Parts: sequence; C-alpha cells; structure tokens
Amino acid sequence: MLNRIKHFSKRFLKWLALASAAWLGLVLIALAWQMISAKVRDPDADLVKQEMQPAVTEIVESAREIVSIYRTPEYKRDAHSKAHGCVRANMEVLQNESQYRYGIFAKPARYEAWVRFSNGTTPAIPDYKRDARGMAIKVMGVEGKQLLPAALAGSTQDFLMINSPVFFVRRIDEYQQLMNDTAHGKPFRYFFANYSVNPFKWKLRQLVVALSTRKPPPATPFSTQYYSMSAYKLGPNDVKFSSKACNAISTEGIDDKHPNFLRESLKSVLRKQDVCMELMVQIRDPDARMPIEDTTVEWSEKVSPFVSVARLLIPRHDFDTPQQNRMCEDISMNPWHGIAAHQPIGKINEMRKELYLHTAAFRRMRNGVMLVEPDSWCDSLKEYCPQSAAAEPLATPPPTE
Amino acid sequence: MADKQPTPWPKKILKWVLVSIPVLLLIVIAGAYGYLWYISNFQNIPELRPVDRIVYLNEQKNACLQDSANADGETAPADDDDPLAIRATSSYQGWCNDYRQNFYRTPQGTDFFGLQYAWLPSLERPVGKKQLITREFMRRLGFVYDPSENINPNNPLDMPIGLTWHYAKDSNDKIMDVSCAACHSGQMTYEGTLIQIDGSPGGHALPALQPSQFLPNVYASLFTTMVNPFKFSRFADKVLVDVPEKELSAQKKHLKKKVWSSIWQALVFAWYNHALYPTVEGYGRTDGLGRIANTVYGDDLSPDNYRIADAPVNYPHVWDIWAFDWVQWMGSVKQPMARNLNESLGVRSRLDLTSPAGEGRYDTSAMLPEMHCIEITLQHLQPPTWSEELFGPIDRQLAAQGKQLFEQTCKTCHGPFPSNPEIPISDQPIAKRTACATCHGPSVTDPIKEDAASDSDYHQVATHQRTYTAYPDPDPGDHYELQTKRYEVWQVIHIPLEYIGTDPQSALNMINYRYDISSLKPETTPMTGWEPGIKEEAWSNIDFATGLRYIGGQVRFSQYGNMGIMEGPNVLDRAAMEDLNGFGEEDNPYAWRAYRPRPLQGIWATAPYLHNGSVPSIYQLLLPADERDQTFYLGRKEFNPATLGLRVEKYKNAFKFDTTKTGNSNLGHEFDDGLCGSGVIGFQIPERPGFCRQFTERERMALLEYLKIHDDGKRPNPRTAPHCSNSKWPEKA
Repeated sequence: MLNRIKHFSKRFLKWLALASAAWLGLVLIALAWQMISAKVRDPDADLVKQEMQPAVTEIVESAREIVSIYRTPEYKRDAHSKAHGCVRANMEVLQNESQYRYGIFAKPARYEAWVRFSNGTTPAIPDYKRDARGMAIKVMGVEGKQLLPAALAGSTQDFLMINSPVFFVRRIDEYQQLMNDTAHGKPFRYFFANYSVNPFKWKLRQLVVALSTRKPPPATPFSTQYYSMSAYKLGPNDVKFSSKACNAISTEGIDDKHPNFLRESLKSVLRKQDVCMELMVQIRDPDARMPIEDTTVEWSEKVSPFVSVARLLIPRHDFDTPQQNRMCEDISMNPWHGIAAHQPIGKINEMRKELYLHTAAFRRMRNGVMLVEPDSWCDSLKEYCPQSAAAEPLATPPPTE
Repeated sequence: MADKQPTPWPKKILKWVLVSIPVLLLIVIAGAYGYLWYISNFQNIPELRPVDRIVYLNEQKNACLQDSANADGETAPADDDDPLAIRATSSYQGWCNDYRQNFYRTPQGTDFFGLQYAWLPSLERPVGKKQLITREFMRRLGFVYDPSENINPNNPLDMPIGLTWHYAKDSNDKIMDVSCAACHSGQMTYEGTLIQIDGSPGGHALPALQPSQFLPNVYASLFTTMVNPFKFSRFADKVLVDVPEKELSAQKKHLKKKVWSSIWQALVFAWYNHALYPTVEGYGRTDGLGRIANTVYGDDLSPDNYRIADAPVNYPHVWDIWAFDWVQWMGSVKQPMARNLNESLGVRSRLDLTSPAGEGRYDTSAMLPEMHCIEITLQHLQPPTWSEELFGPIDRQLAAQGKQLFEQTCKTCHGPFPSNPEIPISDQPIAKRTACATCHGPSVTDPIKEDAASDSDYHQVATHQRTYTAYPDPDPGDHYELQTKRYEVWQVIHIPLEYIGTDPQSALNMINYRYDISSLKPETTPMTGWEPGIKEEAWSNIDFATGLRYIGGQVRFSQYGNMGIMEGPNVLDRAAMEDLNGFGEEDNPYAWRAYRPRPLQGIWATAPYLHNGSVPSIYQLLLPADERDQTFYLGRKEFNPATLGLRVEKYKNAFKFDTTKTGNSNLGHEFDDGLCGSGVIGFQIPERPGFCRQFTERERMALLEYLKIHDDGKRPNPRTAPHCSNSKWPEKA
C-alpha cells in the first residue's frame, strides 16, 4: 500500500513538473507573441478612436483615492510623490534653426524657471531602490495663448519628463484599470489580468516596459537623461522632449545607500558648482515608425536625433530650505500648463489634463493651499524678490559738514 | 505457485469502474443531501428580529369609507342607520385600503416556469416534513407581509405582498404571479417597530440562485417531492384537497406532469442564466435592464443574445414614478405602458418569439389593463412623511439652514421641474431654466462653453439630438428630451456620466450591447404609424432600446387587438385608448450616457442610495467617496435616523456589499475638495467658480434634518380618477 502511494505520488509529481514546464513555456510564448506583435503592428491603429469617457472620470476618481490613501498626513501627488527638491534655474533659449523656432523657442531669451526632481513611485520608496526618476520644468513669464481657461492658466510652460523614453500603458481603458487596481492596492492585478491562469491575457510586454522604467538610481539627479515619453506640438511639427546635463557631473563622495541620497547629492552638487542642462527636441518624421498615440514605442534617435534648443542654468544655491520645499510641494506640474504652440497631443496627454488638474486641486484644497500659477521666482518665494527700496533699511545720510 | 500474471487491461478497467461508480455515486448523493439539508435549514440567510408593533405613515383620519376588503374597490352598501363617521377609516400615504389591496394583489401576468400558486404552501422543505413557505422563511428572505388584519380574498394563501396569481390563458393553471408590489413595497424596522412604507424599495433577492434563496429552495423542494413518493403523496393531498375521489388518480398524474414540466423549465433557465450575473445582486437589487434583455432577447428569442449583466440597480421607489417624463435610472424610457411591459417581460411574463409569425408570436401572459390599473393606483400614493413620534423630533432651526443649502445645492438637479401644459414644448421651463452647468458641471475646462455666448445660446447648439444606430436619418432638429404628450409631468434632466461619476456600468451596458433580432424582421413593411423604420442592417445588430421598442410595440398592439379594443364592437375611443396605452406618450426609448436625478421628498425611506445601492445612507452620500463604507452588510432593513440610512454593521449571514466589484462602485455624487466635475458635484464655492469643497459636518447635519421634512410641492395632476375598469380580477376562463 505504502509503495503504491509512493509510486502514485512520484508519478503525480512528474506530471505536475511536466505541466508546469508546459505552462511556463506558454508564458514565454505569450511574451514572445506580445513583443513581436508590438513590433509588427501599426502602433496607433487601435488607439486613435478611443472613447475618453467615462474612463477619464474613473481615472480621476481613482487618483483622488490614491492621494487620500497615501497621505502622510499631507496630501501628496498621486505619482512622483517624492520630490528631491525644486531648484531655481534660468532657461536660456538658443539661437535655433528655423524648424525649431516656435513657441518659447522662437528667439533667444532668458526665463526664470523651477526644476523639480522626483521619484516616480507612490507611496515614496527609498532612493536606492529601482524607480522611475522625474524631472519637471516650470518656465515662468511665457508669452502666448495659454491652453487652459483663464481661471486656471498662468503664464507658465511646463515640461514633464522621466528617465525612460517610453511609458508602459497604451490605452485609456487600460490606464483606468491600472489606476483602479492601484487604488485598491493591487497594481499587479492589472498586469496579470486579474490573476488569470491564461498567460495570453496577461500584459507581459507592458510589464517588461514598466519594469524597464524602474531603473537603478543615478548618482545624482543630474546623472541621467530624461524624456517626455508622450508627444507635443512644436508649431507645425510633432516633437518629444528630452533633457540631460551639458557635461558629466562629478559624483565623488556620494553615499548611495542612504534612503534620501538623491536629495543629498543634489544638495552637494549645487553647493559646489553651477549646473547646466540641455533641453532637447526630437522632431517626428511622419513616415517613420514614430507613433503619437502609442507611448510604449520609442522614437528612433537614428531617424531623428534630439537637438538642443535651450539650456537650463542652475546656479549654485541652497534649495533645501523649509520655504522652498513648501513651495515645491504646493506647485503643480501639468503638461497643459503651457501655450498652444507646445500643445500636448495624443489621448494619454488629453487624459492627463483632467487627471492632473483634478488631483492638483484636490490635494491643494485638502492641504489648505490656494495657489495660482507663479510668474516669477519672486512670485513663488519672497526670498527671491529683488530687495525693494522701501524694505531696505534707509542708508545713513552722509554727515553734513 | 504459479507466476503472478499481470492483470489484463480490460479487467483492470472493469475493476476500476465497478469500484469507482458506486463511490462516486455515494459522494454525489451525500453532497446533494448535504446541500439540501443546508438549504432546508436556511443556513445562510439572516435571522429575524422580533417586532412589537406595526405602523403606517401619513395617517389621515376618517379619509376612507370602511370597505369590505373587496379588491375591486367597491365599498359595502351604506347602512342608513349607520352614521358615516363610524364607518370611516384612516388612509395612509394617500391610500385607502382598497387601493392598497389593489396594488398588493393585482397580477401583472408574470409566470416563473409555470410555478403554481397552490403549490407554494403545500411544499415541504427539501429535507424534512416542515412547511417551506412560511411567514418566517419569506421574511428572512426580505419579503414583506401585509400588516392589515383584513384578509384580502385574493390572497387566500397568505403570501407576501406582491405575490399573487393569475389563470394561464391556455391551461387555466393558477400561476404564481410576482406583481409590481413585490419589489416596490418595503418595510423597515426601527427599534422593534415595523414601518410599512408603500412604494418604497423592496428588500428581497427574488432572482437570486444562491442557496436558501426562494427559487433554489422551491425547486429543490419540488424535485425532492417528485423523487420521494411519500413526499409527493403528502404534497398531492394538500394541492388536490378539493378533488373528488374518483378523479384523484388522474389529477395526480396531471400534477406530476405539471411539476416535472416546471422543474424542466427552471433547469433550462438555470442552464442559460447561471453565469450571466457575475456581480451578486444581493438583497434589494437586480440588474433590471440586463435581466429584461437576457429574458426577451435571450430566453424568449435566441441563446446567442445572452449578455453579461453586471450592473445591479436598486428597486426604485415608486410614489412619484408616474409623474416623470423619463423613467429608469438612466432616464432611458418615456412611455409608461412600454416601460411596464418591459418590466413585466423581464419578470418572466410568457413570451415566445421563436413561434412563427402570425401564430401568436407576440402573445404574452403580461396583463396590460391590470398594469394600467396599478399605475393609476400609484398616482394616488403619497411619499412617506417623517414620524416624529417614532424617530424623534425635528430640529426646525437646523432644518431651516438645511433648506437653504438644499435650494443652493440639491434643487438645481433634483428639481422637481413641473412642466406647464399651457406653453409650447420648446418654451418649457426646463429648457429655459436649466443652465448648461446644471447637467455638465461648472466645467471650466470645457471649450464649448467658451464659444457659446450664453447658456441659452448653448441650448440651441447643444448636441442633444439622438443619433440612433438603428434608424435612418434621425431628425437633427429634435429635442427629444423636451417632448411629452402628457398634460402635466415633472421633467427630469440627465446628468452625464462624466460629471456625476457614479458607477457607469449600468448605462454602458445599455449603450453598448447589441442583439440579433433578424428573425423578427417582418416580410413586408407594415403600414402602421408606430412601426419604426429600422435600417436593414440593424436587425441583426440592434441596440437594447430600439429592439425593445419594436418587440414591445408588437406585443402591446397584438394584445390590444386580441382584447378587441382596436376595432369592432368593443373598440375604445381615442381618449380611452391613449389613456390605456401609456397616456398617449410616444415610445422613444434612448440610452443616454447619463443618470437621472429624482425629486427627494420621502428619500429618507429609500436607503441604500445611488442607482446601484452602493451608499448605505444619505449622510455618507454627502461625504467624499473615500470616507464612505468600502464594504457593508445588507439583509435586514433596520433604519438609522441619525444617518438617514440603514444599519449596515456586520451580522451573521448578512450579504456583504463589496464596492470594489464591477457595477458596485460607490464613487461619484461626491461633495469633495478640488475642481468640480469627474464625480465631484458640490459644494460649489460661489466665490471660486469651478471649485468645490466638502460640506462641513454642521452643513451635513442641516441637510439631513431638512431632508426629513422636504416637500416637493404640488405634484402633477394626472387628471385621472382611480379607475380599474379595464381590469377585472381574472376569472377562470
């Protein structure tokens, strides 16, 4: 009898091993199938006719939930909740070639700007873990027709980027599913199709892309390249943005084991030196495989290289002050803070308008902040106002003779 | 000793089969018996709580002549010696007892698999000899009983409110009939007092296939009755009690045939339907439109037409339902008789669309005159009024503050918006008074609004015309939502899904599902005026609304024809015909991407809230969504006057309402901080247009206090006296 049981269990285990191997094979086939079909298909074909509503509404509702769940007790952003700091920068527009001369890049100029560096994951995780890193620029005092209605618009042009050239979600309804699962604390339910046993239902390619956006930390926030992922207008052209440091930054003496080391390294670099970053533009070639809707497909830099159109000059300064950090939490970065010449395009960007406006307003009101778009450093922080004559102590009059 | 020969294969298999079959059989039988024992003892339905007394609301003393409990509403002849006052009794919620009894017991023609009325009290539990259908069992399932002590002669077997009977046309069987009152009469308890609220949502799970629920238990009982001769003999003795001795054996045979046929029909239903409703409806909910579609397009026509129905909705309250121009949660249907017929078909009135054209294809057991009588009766039902004696006094000062907030915040959408019959339709107040922002939100990001010079401008250019897929050439100028043929109605507005933000599944299913009804396409195009000109290619790909408009129209007019009221000696004049057929309203159903707000008088008695019942109280409805209950428990309706809702703490065998399931979302209709829109509807900050904020606790309390006594003002005059002249209690033919 015992022998029989032994025999049977041996056979059963063998069968189990075979079955799991076959299933793993299926997983691999599914992955290969998804990767290949993504390379072959017309990337935008199924995306141009997406219904936006009511999916966008549900995304906004989930985002409110996420912001509420992960409050600390302060209400943070639903993504990129951990900022390493907002630094002061001047944007210097270069003398550009004619195809780039639109919007704020039309002529050489100098603008005041804020640059916010961040980690992507909400809730915040230690810097040494794999994560997406964000860089957002708010250029202030920009002229031109703003995209948002007057009540919400200022005179700013925001550029939002992360250190990966692609985003991992293609469709609005998929994004809704992801946000819904995230709001219920189960983001992996999204990739594994509600934990279905059928690997062909899984979103394996998206998972691969999503994991590839989570990179090991750079030594400093200046030591990686950032990309806009989605497409924007530049006058008549469609473009993507990118930004990286003009020269390599010395990373000596940086302890990358500290949970907040990116803030520390940002601080130590800006204690020692001024930093220059390039803002680059990649123009879309309509004949190449450079889709507007599908943000999971990278635009080839061979076909159309990134070309520098402006420089961010970040002066040596101490940004880690309570006032500046407060301001950093209160401002809102939104691709729709901007002018018509740089209008965000594609359905994902369209969705971001509602999403970012709603989450920013929600989080600010919950935090008791009433803020409009700033138009200068001084407008954001009185520390950066030019010392006005009235405020200066009166100079001692010269003694009369 | 001979060498051990290996057993040959066939012998081995035989041995296996011989051993495994009895073992498997035993396991199956033990499992089945376990299941039957489980449901016979109601292991998974809530216990009852005792009640000490029963009350009605809105008592109006000496309003009714004491009637003789006659369902026809005829009062007993007046006795000259008897002063009128002595015979006068109270009305409650505007109803005298005869109206109430008409509502409770008038059948509508529904037929659950040929289940017969007389079988119900004769059934024993699947295991044991105890009676199955008892007051206790049915009340634990959420059914409610008529508290009145007068026995309605049409309720001889003491069934819950709304369970009644009609005679089947072909066989004369006395069929159990689930009528309107079954789902639209409610009771709540409050600290041992049972409150009867006519027209409020019911609390049962009638269509549920979960163990111990009504249908599974009844059919398990019928099945065991059929396989157990002793059980059948006891059952037959009760059912056939009046049958003379010499007919008994023939009648028993007949009964057996009927029961088997009913079991077979139920099994067929279960076979096709068991997986169609993945979101458990639970107590007080059903996916009404989903079930109508699966019944009419699926059960009655073709199994290819079954669609997943994962959007359960509350049974709505009905004291003002007749007053609206658009009904259903999405405001998708206009014609009262069309809506009534659809509902009746969804609750399984008989219809067989597979029968050949011209041979009774559109014959149904649905009873249009009876439904008309019920609708007319409802026109006299009043919303319940708050009982200070029961629930505690009203803080008038707080309520006055609440009233201000109500007019500022709630009234703009919830109305009511009475139509004025004296002015043209395009000038109706709703068109003039309602700003775009009412339905679309103060959407500061909406570019349309910037282009329109003013709100009234916007109304002229608004894309409110319908774009039917099934009809050629929709008239681009039509403002369908403004049309009504009725004299006086309350107009409703439609709030788009993206503004209200409540669970969209119910609306989306109705909008997106398509059905194949090409087998119903007439050979020749009929000439009648109501025939919709459905496009050639749309017959095999028809939307919910258009398909039901066609089928429902055929069914209604075929029944009117059969009744002989279209022509011939009994022809009805135009006014009477219009009155019967939905008060002359046109049947223009349409799946709006929207939900419809209703006026709020008596709303405190209708918990849980939102169309899908995902918010247990009005208090939580006034909260931001993240502060609402993620899960709560339903089953008993114990009122909570502090929150104007139900007590939803966990208790044994309660139904767990999980708001993360599809169709169960509790988001939307929020009063929250941030930009208004995308589910946030208020409180709109006057000094910051486009921005909303939460209510303060005091504001919430004030609104709750006011909603207890809120009055919608003058109700539309239906201009009908209660008349049930077309409807007689069905006689055996």
